[in-house]
Amino acid sequence: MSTIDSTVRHNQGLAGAHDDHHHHELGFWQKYVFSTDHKVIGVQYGVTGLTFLFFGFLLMLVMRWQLANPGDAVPLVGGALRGLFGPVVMTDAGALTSSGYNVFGAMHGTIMVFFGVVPLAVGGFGNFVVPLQIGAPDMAFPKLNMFSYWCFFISGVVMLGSFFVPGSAAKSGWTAYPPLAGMADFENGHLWLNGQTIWLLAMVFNITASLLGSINFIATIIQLRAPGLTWMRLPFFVWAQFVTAFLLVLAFPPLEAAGFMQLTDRVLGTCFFMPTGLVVGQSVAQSWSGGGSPILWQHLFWFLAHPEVYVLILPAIGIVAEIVANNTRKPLYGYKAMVYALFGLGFLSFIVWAHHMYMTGMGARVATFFQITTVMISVPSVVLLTSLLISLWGGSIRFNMPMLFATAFLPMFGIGGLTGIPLAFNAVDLYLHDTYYVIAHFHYVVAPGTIFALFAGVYHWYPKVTGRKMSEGLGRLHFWGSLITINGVFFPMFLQGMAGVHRRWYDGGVTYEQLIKPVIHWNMFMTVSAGLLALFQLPFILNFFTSLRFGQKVGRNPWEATTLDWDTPTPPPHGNFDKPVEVFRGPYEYSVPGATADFVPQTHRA
Amino acid sequence: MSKFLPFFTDRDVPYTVAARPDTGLYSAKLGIWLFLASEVMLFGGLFSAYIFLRLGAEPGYWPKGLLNVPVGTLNTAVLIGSSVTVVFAWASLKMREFMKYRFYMAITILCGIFFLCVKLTYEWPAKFDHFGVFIKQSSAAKYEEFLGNDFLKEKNEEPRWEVTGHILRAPKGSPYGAVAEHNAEHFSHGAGHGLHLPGGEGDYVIQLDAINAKPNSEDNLRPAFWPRPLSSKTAVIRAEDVESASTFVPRHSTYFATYFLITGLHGLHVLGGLVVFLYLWLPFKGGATLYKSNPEHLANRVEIAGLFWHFVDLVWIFVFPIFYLL
Amino acid sequence: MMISHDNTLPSDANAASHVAASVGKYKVLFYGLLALTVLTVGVSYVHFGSNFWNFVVGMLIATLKAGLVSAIFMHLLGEKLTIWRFLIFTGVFVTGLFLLTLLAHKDPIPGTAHSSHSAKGNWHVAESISSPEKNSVSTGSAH
Ligand code: HEM
Ligand SMILES: [Cu+2]
Repeated sequence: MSTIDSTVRHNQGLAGAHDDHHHHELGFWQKYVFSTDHKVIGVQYGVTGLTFLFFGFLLMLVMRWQLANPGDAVPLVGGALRGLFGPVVMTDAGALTSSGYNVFGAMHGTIMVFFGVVPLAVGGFGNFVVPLQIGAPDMAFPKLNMFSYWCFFISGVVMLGSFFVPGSAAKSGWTAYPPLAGMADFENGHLWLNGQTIWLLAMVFNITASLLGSINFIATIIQLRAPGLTWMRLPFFVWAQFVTAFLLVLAFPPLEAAGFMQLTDRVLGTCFFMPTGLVVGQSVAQSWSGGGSPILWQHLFWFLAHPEVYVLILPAIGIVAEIVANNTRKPLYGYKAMVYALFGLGFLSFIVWAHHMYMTGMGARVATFFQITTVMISVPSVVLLTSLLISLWGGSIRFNMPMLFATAFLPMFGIGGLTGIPLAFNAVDLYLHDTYYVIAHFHYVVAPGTIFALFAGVYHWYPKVTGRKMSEGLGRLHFWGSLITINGVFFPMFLQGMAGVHRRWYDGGVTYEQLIKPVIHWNMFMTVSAGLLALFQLPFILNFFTSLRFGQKVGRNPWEATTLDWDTPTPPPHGNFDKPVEVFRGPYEYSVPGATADFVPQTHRA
Repeated sequence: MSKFLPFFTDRDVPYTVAARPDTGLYSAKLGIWLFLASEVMLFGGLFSAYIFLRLGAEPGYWPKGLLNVPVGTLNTAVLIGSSVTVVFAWASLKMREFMKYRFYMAITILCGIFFLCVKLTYEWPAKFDHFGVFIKQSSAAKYEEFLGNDFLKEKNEEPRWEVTGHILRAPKGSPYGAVAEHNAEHFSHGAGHGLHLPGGEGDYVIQLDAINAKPNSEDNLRPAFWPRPLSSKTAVIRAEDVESASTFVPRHSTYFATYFLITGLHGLHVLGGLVVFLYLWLPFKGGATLYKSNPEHLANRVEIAGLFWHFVDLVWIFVFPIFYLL
Repeated sequence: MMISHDNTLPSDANAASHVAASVGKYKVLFYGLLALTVLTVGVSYVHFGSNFWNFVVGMLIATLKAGLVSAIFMHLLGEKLTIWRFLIFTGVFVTGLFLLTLLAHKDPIPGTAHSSHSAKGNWHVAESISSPEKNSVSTGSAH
């Protein structure tokens, strides 16, 4: 088979390359709402995800207020919050109640992870960018793609709706540990209409959406790569999405199974996770058969949730890799090693989960196994980070907005990753478990880490989506403000955590003041930082909307990039490419000696 | 399809029917296998819960021999049969024999419906009117005549804490009062309403299963193939000696919890498969009608649906022994 | 090799004749599976020394049946490398899920909640327990 041949066939799906099919104009609903176009779906996912991220952050702002000023009314909006969330969550005076703190905490975690980062990083960037970067007209299953988004949308509506059921939303943490989660939220006598049950229902929808989406990604990447786009010519971002999708496909189903089990525990009275002889209040609980195991939930939960942290971080690393290569004007250092590291990470991430469970009383043999695998997994992580760092070496770096965020990602992710290593050892973890040290550790990974990378991605691909660049001035304000304040939020948590401050305390530790005296004053500093961090998001929001109209107009390839996503019209039309795509070279041919320009697009014939 | 759902207009994506040369696959084939991989993990999670809970169950708390083996065997055979017919349906399409396709597909669908009917109209309801009472270990000695623990200990078998059968009287305030009354009427047929039941307001009265009627019989040591009929003997159990009591519903024990969850989820899969098969069998635009315009496309669809169906069969192959036999 | 570009033709030029040849194989397999089902039921009434071994035998037969279904009905035998690759990973991970949870279950620190998640007594305990209160895993009330 000749290459030309396959090019023609691959591009059968190009807009205009065929005329025997339905070519009627799509109506508004089909074009922008129930669209099967991966770009529209990507934008839908992205905007929904961003909205959820800000919402999750606002919940945390209220909590941070409470931590620094326990029992005080929330300034300005206390009354409004009381009206919105009701008496379970807010006192009449407008202060957060203890239940309210639990509600907000559980919803912050859930929303950030499952409704914010994953939809934005995978659903948003993945959907928009992957088909473009592999030269495909769309995803392999466009209808399934639309279905996935709407399934996710329903899960979001249900999850948000749970704030308004009697007793308010779930209070048992994003981890939903039984036996607590198995019997929480029944005070109002509703079997179905209560926070935790609805949390489970929403999660079932959310998981289904993720599964459908990731199956689509894998099939697309395997089946729809343009002719000549061999595996080792794939942009690193595509690799990252590929491995991420596998993690989702294989790790999420056990949690779905566990979700069903917890659901039946709650509504049918089964005892999958309810042990015999459980003492509730003063007496042994009589109403159920017992025989279940709370530890079983932990196994099934963390079987998902550890891979999930790589789901949160790999797309971010993918974004950073694209931006670093583009703005250092150099090929990525160690591209192949990075790809293998991705696979190593993906594989190992399935067999480390019980490092979250050292406290459950597992014996030395099993703990040793999980310590070893956990330490092993740091090797590929370091390969990725080091390769990115070395990629900076000797480059003439363009510090535009995407690059600023991408550069900041590296040390922030580094801090998050390195502080995780002590937690791998159970002797250390027994002390640090459930303290603010852990909170600080994973937030360095996901907040100044992943979130910064996602910001970088927004600045980077915004021109492709809208045809205009975002403003550099507002961008810089956003960047420097966020970088400084976010460290102000999270760094003191290490200090508090090492001094023993426990997570999920709703009074900021006042009850244990004598024990944590030397560090309790940091609460105020962190809360002020969080408030400022919120302020510094305003330039971003402003920038995001005003640039739609006033941003600088750009052509096909404003960043002078090599990959296929920059080889389409801006914004890309229905069907994406306006010419047959064929790939002749690797993804990052920047500053090739002897070439006329400092970049050679992948479609450039040798 | 798009005739019915105007929103579902499709992009013209390559490799929907023809295979991509380097992978040798059309996209849907890859998609369904990925989906099945995730299904393996889903049922894997459920089966690992089964193992975990069963191994964690203390002796005497994992019921055995409560399910109807002949019926289970029949259903297994029916599912296997439908797996064969769906392959034949696909093969007929490949050989472009449309009438044969419709014939085999019809049989497949009938098999699936039969399977579900047996589950929903016979097996599950038969469980729902059975009753089990777990006796507190501290009170077990009082009920030795129904439990036979001395005998079991002598034979080196697991102890028995449960008395099962049909409930005839439930303690006051118990949710099983209505079931009990219904059973009592049935029990006393001929004798009329006036039959005197033993026990009082605070007691469970149970018409015993054979195993509790004669707990010291050697027969009990071997599982039975044909379910043994209910005896006419009754037992009176005082509520304060009871640890937990319920009909054979999910909440009865971790055994029934896993049984109902796994077979329920499996049943939903059967139902899903049936819906797809019906769509492919009836003259929908994307179903049987597709044969006229693009028979290969229809064959692909049947192959995909068939793969799913085989997987459902495959899950049953494990479900059957672990719940019915072992 | 000639590869069809037409979306209406089979991906494999001689697929139809291939299929016709396999029909007999499917029939044989059908009877084989039925026989194995009867065997499963049969051996479950044979005592292999302990429950454990009965379980092993039952699972071996089930695995054999599952293997046949996937290899032949699902055409896994001649299936493409791509599919095999990720199915192998799936197999590894699902085994990991089984084995590691099992291992963790078998290796608790004595006396922790882990080992008494089912605190119903065994023979020895049952004889010595006088009150109905069993060992308990306690948790605070919901708030
Ligand atoms: C930048 C803004 C953020 C701030 C200020 C923040 C702050 C916090 C704090 C203080 C806690 C501990 C609350 C407690 O234990 O009482 C927490 C918990 C948590 N956060 Fe964040 N966070 C932020 C962003 C994120 C992001 C981006 C993610 C995930 C992608 C995330 C995921 C979580 C999770 C999973 C928990 C644990 C919830 C639980 O205890 O169940 N957070 N966050
Ligand atoms: Cu982990």
